[in-house]
Amino acid sequence: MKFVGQSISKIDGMALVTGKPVYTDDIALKNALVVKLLRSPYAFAKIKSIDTSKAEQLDGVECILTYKDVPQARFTLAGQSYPEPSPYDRLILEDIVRYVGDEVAIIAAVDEKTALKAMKLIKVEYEVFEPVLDFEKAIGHTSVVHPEENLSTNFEIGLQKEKNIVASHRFEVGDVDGELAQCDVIVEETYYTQAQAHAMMETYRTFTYLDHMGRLVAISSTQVPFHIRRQLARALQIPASKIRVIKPRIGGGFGAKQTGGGDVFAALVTLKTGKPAKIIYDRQETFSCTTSRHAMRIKVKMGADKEGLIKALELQVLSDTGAYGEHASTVLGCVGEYTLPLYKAKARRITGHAVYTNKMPGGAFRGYGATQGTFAVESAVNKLAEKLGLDPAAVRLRNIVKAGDTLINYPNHPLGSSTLDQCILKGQELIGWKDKYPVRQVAPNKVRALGMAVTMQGSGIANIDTSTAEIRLNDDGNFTLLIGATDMGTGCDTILTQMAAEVLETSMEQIIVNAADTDISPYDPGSYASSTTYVAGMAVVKAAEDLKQQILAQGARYLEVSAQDAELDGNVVKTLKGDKEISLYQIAELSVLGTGRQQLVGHSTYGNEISPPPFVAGFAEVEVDLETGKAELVDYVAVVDCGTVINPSLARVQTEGGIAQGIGMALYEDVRYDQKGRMQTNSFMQYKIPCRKDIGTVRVFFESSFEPTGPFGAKSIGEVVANTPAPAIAHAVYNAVGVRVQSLPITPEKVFMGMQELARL
Amino acid sequence: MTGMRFKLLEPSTIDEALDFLAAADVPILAGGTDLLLKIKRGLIWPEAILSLHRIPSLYCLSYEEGTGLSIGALVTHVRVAQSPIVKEKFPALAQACALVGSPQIRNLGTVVGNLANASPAADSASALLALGAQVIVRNSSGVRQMSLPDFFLGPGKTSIRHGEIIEAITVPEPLAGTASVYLKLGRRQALEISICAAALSARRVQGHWQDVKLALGAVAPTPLLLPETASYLEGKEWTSEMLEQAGRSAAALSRPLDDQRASAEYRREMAEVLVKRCGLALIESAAGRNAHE
Repeated sequence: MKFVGQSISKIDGMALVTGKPVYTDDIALKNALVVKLLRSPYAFAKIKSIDTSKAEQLDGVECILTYKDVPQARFTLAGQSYPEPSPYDRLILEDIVRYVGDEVAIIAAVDEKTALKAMKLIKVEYEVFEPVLDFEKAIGHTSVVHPEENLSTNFEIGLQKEKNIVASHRFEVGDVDGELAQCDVIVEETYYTQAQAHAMMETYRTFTYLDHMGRLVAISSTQVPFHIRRQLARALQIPASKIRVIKPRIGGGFGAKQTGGGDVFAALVTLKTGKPAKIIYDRQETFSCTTSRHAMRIKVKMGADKEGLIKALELQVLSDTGAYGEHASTVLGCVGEYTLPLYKAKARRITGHAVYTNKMPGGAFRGYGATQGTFAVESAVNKLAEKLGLDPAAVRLRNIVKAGDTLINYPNHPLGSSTLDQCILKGQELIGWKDKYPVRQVAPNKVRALGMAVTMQGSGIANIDTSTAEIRLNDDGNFTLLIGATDMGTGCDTILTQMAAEVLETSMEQIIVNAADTDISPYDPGSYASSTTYVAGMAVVKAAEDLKQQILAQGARYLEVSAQDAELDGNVVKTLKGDKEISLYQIAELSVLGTGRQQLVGHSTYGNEISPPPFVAGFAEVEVDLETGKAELVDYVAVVDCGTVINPSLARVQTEGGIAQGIGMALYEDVRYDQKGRMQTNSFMQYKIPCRKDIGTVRVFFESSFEPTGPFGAKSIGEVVANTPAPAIAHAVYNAVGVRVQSLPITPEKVFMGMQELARL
Repeated sequence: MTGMRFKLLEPSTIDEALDFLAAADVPILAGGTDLLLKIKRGLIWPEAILSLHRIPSLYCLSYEEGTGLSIGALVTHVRVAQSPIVKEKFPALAQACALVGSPQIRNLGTVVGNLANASPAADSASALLALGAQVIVRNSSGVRQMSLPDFFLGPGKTSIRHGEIIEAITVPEPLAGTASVYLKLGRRQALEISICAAALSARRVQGHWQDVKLALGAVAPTPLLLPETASYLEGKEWTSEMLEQAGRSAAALSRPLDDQRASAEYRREMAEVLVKRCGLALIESAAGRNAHE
């Protein structure tokens, strides 16, 4: 193929790396009001009084808004499809603050300095409550984080607000307890995954103004423009038709920007003042006042027979959703959604709760529950293999779901594609499993060891993610591709163009891609849930095919032959006999000139009732210092089945980035709070993401499969790549020194203390 | 961050700089890697900053045989780390400076600034302690000199008084046969504040180690010189048992805190390990030198 499968450079790459003015703050008007937020110093408190009079008198202050000035409709910042599954549990501002950093007042001024000065002049008196900080003590805590009457959900998610339970989940196939009773070996362990910060380069930012018709325009660094429109409409209590959301270039999201940031605050200022406004979250706000990965406790029970056939798998999950329930029920559900189908146990069950605490909310984060679940389940599989005296790769090969098998999520659809078995075998070979597993001494105080894990994710959300694409033949013979998918640095504008170019047999340069603008783009939920390549990709392919047929028919009409006797060959439609042809330019021109014409537009709306899983087999080699407990990653091999690889270099960087993020979760990153609920890790000084030297060697390989329902056989890649490092590295550390760190991250101190304990036994 | 507005004072001599300081208590800018961070975080809002950048003498990194090393106030970490003479004569210092922050920070940040910031975890501080460095301070009445243990008072606190400028650090010429080493433990391989660090200097005379100096970082409110442990090692032919004992002694003398990087308990354990490893590294370097000769 000419475009699909080629490592085509990102179409916006040069502009991004040469600093062209393409991001939100580059576009914002220079005279925009600067919006700043006064935030709560307390984890849980009621505002007894708030005095803004001194601040309002300051020169250059445009307005100061408090809970008295905001609409009273509860909403959620989670950007999800219809019907929104996250509880409507927040107001733009409220007289109750539920975590350190919760918003207390909105300040708009002519510049940042004035806004900050005004912020210091606001006097607030608080009545401080006992906060809920330990999520394992949230259920039944004397403090109730959300007692309010008007908190609501669109459908039953298992909310029990008086118990601080936001959501409850239960899914079961087979008889778990019955199967467990008959198993020869049972592994029962508890795992903890920490809150993780997204640490994307561009922090949250939004620029708002009123257009020539008085409509609210928000240029927002978001993954979900259509959801932001709906969210603004509800929060501000204005019709969605009065709102336009535009997504410019985005400096990274990783799921963070599937949740609204400062949009509502800037928008409210613009509505109140009629003036352009912008809000830019600084790094500290982004760390401490937005969302993180949900911290979880996952209890795993896994049973197998002596031969290593897994018969039962049970997960009990407790998820810390923090002060608001953004993505609470869905992330909880995805813990099982993307782990239970992987192994063909007869009986599988997940139960769990997501609980409110007085900390920063959890949110969407690359992997979305699967990452947490994979750490627990894969760690348990590794332990099971050891208990059985079997090779952990062999146990997996014995139990994994294979192409043609039935996935528990979709009982009526056999799995269309998987090369996970080949991924495992290839990964073993590349990491040197035969020679290096499990451990060898490399120096008096150093050992090197291997570990592994496998994982799956989805490709979009079945029955929910539905994307529309339009592609039109312009008057000049070029094409405009309209999509609502949101390139956030991932490169989807590029790969979707590649797909359209492939179908239309044209060039990349002849396609203008436009995304995303709610006034212009066809509806797309946005880029999340690993949906874009698969769902939006399918919509693009079908829209392009639709247009291709129309061009062919139109061309044939001009050539005065039937469409069956004509073919599209690059920039011409010609007869099969080859005696007559008409150029695309002529067709384009004739389609828009004179009477009785119709401009050609291809169109498709695509959604699927399945979400085909991509797979990864990950292998880690670590070197552990026996005297300090410090583990260094020496080598990481990831073998990926994402179906057809649409753009190998972009797929590779996605994989490398996901693995780096997974390494961060495994070894370094940890969102931590002090005893009063104040975040301690609110800068890159305290919050350590791995630097280049910590990543070691990361090697990425693809074992392509062909997904029959995907565009050119493709599946997703965005999230699945983040899941294997934590369990694979934990496994390698165990093989190195015999210490199982079951609470992430794996710090030198935890490993050292574990070794001390082993020595005492 | 906007709002970072201040007057930049740029004297071209130290005397001129001292005049500015006499007139107003303004922060001093050398590399700026600590100062600008404080301003950005809103910890200080100076109206003026005194930059030393136009004072040529402060860029001087010099070595005189028999006297030793002098590191001017504007000498960056990278210059020290890459200096052949520092690598040869003061390896602990070269190693420490090579482990500060990241290449960007090492290119801008200065060794004197690192000391003036008085972080207990400062990489160069424990190395300089173990090398017996002196701080040369200028004030309106002249020059005063002090040893590093007198210089550090607590986290972020030094004995520099208002109106004074650190002109340079001097490190005395090591006696023949001296070797030194700096080791640091952090979680990341770069851009890392130590969980624990150790520096050891000693010279080998007929199989025995003399003039032993040992310092630890990140285990007390200041970088810590440990003369008691050093005297235990003084004049002996080190064995690994002896070094382990020294490690235990150093750990017992350290006063670490629990913080988000590590617990006090782990820090003590690591002090023990690093002291032992420093000793082993010196034995190894001596063996290497013998083999080489």
